[in-house]
Amino acid sequence: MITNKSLPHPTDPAEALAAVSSLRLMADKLERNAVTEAVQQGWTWAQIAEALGITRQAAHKRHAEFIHNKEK
Amino acid sequence: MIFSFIRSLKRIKQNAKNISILCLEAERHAHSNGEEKPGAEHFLLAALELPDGSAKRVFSRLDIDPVGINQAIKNQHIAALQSAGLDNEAIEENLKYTEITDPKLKLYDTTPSGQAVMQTLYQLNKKRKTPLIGAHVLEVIASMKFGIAARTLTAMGIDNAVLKVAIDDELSHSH
Repeated sequence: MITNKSLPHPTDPAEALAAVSSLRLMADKLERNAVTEAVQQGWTWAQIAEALGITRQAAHKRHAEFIHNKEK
Repeated sequence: MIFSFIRSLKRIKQNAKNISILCLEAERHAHSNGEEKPGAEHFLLAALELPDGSAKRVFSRLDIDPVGINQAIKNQHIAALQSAGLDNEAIEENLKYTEITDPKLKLYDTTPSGQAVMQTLYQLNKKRKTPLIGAHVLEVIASMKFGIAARTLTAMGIDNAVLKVAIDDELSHSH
């Protein structure tokens, strides 16, 4: 579990920013895998967008092509 | 005059070929690691694939096997996530390297660090009268102080100053 205690302190920017960069990469992968799963479970793009807090168009633009290619 | 023109044309053709290989290889490495856009670390891997072999020779000069670079890049992400408090199981689960096997057909795009590599290469290349080679890419990456590529080289025990000397040596022999 990520806690304040375990996160690199901002006073060490090199470590903190490296963690941010890798957390972002991990978040991107988690998002892609979760959206793929949601589509397979029958979620609509509107529902996915709502869950991600972005517009339907943004959700579709970000993920539809990857999912379409994966299904081929 | 005509020979100079022909030489210039040959250089442009070689440059275009090498840039194409570099970009496509960087993208392939990014996709094989499950990332959509290549960053500086993927250009580092791609430099080793250029047919001139100069990037590989730079590492040979340092007595380092570049085969370990890809795993060293992954290790950097794992170490950064461990420092953020994630345990190994969570990292393995969430940082799965799902290969992107059928990339989108769209305009070539990179992450900001990949853009920085290409922009600096372009600026340096305008001044040079020789085609792009792998050692030029390493030269740009060696000038980066932060980011995954820089951290990977440091983690592999590669001293930046020593790397720059090896690159300069290689470039002086290449031209």
